[in-house]
Amino acid sequence: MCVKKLLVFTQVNCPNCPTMKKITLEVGKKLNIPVELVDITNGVPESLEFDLLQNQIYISSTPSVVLVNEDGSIRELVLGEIIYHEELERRIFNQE
Amino acid sequence: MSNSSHSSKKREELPLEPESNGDFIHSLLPPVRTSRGTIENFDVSKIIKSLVKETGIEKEKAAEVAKRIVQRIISSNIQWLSSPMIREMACSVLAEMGMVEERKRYTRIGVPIYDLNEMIVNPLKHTWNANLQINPETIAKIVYDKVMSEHTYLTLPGYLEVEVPSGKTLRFTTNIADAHLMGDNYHKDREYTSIRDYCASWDPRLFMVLGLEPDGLQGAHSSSAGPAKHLIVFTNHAAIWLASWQSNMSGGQGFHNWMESIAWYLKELKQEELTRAAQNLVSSMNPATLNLNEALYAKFSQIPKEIIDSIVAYTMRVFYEREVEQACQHTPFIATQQYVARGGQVPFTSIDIGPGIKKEFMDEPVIMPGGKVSERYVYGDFVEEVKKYFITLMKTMYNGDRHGKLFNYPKINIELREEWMKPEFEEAYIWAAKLTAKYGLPYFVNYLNWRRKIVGGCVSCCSHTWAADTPEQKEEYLTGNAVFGAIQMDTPNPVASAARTFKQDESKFFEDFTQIINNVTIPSLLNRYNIIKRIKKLGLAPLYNVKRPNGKDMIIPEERKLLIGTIGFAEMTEIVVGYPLWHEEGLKFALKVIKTMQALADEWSEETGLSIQITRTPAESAAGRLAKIMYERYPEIRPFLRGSYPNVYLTNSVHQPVDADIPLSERIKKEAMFAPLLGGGFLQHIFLDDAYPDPEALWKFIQKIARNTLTAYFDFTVDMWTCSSCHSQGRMDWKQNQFNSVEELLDFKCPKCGSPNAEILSRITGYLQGLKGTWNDPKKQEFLERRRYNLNI
Repeated sequence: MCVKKLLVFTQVNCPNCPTMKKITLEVGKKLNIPVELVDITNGVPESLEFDLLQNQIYISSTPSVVLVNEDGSIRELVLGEIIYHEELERRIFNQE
Repeated sequence: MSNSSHSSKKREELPLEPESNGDFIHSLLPPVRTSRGTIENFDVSKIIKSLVKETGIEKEKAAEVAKRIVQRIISSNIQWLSSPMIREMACSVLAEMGMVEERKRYTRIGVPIYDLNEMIVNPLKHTWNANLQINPETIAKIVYDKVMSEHTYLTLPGYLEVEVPSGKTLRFTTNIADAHLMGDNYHKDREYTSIRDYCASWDPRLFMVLGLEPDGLQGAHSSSAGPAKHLIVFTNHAAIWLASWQSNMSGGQGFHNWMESIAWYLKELKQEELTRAAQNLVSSMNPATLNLNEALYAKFSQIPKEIIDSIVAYTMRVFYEREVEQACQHTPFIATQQYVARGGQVPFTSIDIGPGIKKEFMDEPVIMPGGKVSERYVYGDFVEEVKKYFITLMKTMYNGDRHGKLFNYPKINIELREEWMKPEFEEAYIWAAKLTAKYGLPYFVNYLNWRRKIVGGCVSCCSHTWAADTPEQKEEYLTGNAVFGAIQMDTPNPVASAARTFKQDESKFFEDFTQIINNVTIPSLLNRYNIIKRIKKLGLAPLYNVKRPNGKDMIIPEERKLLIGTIGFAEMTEIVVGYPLWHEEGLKFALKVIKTMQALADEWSEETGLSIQITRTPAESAAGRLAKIMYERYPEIRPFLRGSYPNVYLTNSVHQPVDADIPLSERIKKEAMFAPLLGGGFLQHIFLDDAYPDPEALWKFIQKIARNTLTAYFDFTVDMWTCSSCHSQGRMDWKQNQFNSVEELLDFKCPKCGSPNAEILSRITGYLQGLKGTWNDPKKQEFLERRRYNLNI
């Protein structure tokens, strides 16, 4: 499965968001995966929310990171926590 | 004829003694049988006085009404008169004079004698409440329901003024009663609107610390029990607690933190406690055994003391394990045998349990009976013991009652938490799966997906989920002071909006639906909030004002939820966008509606300072009632309603239609998409066919659902039958049993002995109940149309 991009969900006043954003950008750069930042202070954009829900993903807290595949399928990598480079990479490659 | 002669005789016996210048008129009027149980002379001034007092009209107007009444009595030569008759005449005159509101205030509420006779001989024909059983209390309940519902319709305010915690005074011009009668909004629990709160989830440590005084008056009318010191007393207190609260609330009563609460009572199972007890042999129940160990040492002096100690410890373990077994049996039996609440129903009870101690409790010191904090134990010391208790409870539920029949209460809500997804808890969960495979009993509360972030989560009633939202609530959750629940649920009917705006622009639908919520649903919720505040202030429900261990009142209206329910999304979607709910366009529209509801709930929460949430409506009555009204009011949408008239119904909440021809995985996922958006709770059902799934495979499947979908709360429904003639029971064999109509369901006979006293048990909405005896016809129709799945495992 080809990875299309990573989405990082953040909010204003979220203490852990800057760190997770930085880590994701660095991992994205290393793996050559585009990273998009999504500010959900005022809610998840409607266009994106349906796709997330259909893929059984709900961003209940931030920072969160999801992976979007070329075929449009989406996978949750991080939900409301900080993980570090190695762990993020492991999750991107779906290694248990 | 006989009435006339009888009343003539009475007139002779009771000569009128007029007091004023109306003597002659009075002499023409028969005596009056009063509702106080007396026969009195006709006195027109009493009519005038009561009209002024009860309707607020001026004396002159009241005199005019009274004059017309007197004219009627004299001109019609009525010989037999009672005060209800005079009141009926007064209401008729008030209506003729255009005083509609005054008539509403003056009318008498009651039941026609024909209906009452029918209710006495065939009570269940007069209710849609599937939780009622045949017994004399039920007749009282049905009469009460009729009277109090009518009272609600007549007294729900047209104008509402309510002071809310945000400090504002909100004013509404509304018509909640008519909106309910017209099917625009479903006002739940009409019979209890003016007298009690709705539903709650309690921490058992409340009575573990406080003891038990079910009257809420320090035992002035009941007795006062100290905190339970033994397991069986704890389970007894738990049952009484729920039953007494059920008498003070209209909805389900449940416990959260059950395992943490029971932990202390399981300490006798701990090896160290057993060894200590074996060495001391001190039994608080039998002081005569105090010196038994010495006697044993002396009698068996050739055997080392340690061996004697271990034999005694083993014996005590067997004894304590038997005690735990007894306590586990006590819980479902007492939950299904106390016909004590809400008119001869068993209390609607539930307990949230898991096979271990929740992670946030692991290092917390144990709160002991009476409220002392243990210096020896933290909750984490009891993981093994509560696991044993859990397995024992599962086995008890698995074995069923004396005849092997399932226990439908308490609802067993099994929590799925990451800390228990380990091999050491596998056996316990497989027992839960065995119970599910056999009866479909447990409900699974999911904390493995997006809900893993929830602290202080619990469930109650048959749909609602709660969470500790604030640091204060989290502290209460940990310390045994938490009370969750809601005051009221009202359900705006989107199908009514869809029907009114049929074939119009989508925006018209949203306009109409928003109006229902703003003008009816919200005022109705706030009206019940007002009522609960008044009940507390007047002390009409003393339990509400009892203090928790932390000093707060048990019921604090400002902290309770107000719920906006959901119903008929499947029908709404088809009417408005022309696609079924499982189609992407249907789903998108339904989610848009939910988001609109959520935005309105958020706005009103902000405006009022109260917590208003969206939830699944159980709808065991609403589904049929609203569909029937829609069928009659809007002929153009009849093809969209489920079932066939008169047994039409709306699909519950945001569920896919029960007969939707979609794979199970698709059904689960498409319903689960709504779970995060229904903050007040959403329970999903999986209807199983007659195949018996392998429990181990079922446990894997449960985990898969919990991890890979957004579901919050789900169950598996197995259709069972039970026979009260031969006491057999089993699964419904859907190859052998085919029903083409609701009437055919009533002819179901015992597959073993052929007796007609056989009943089908299934999940009507969020609870299991006998279908022939208690389900209403639209729900029976839904039962016939359910698509049942084979898990192939």
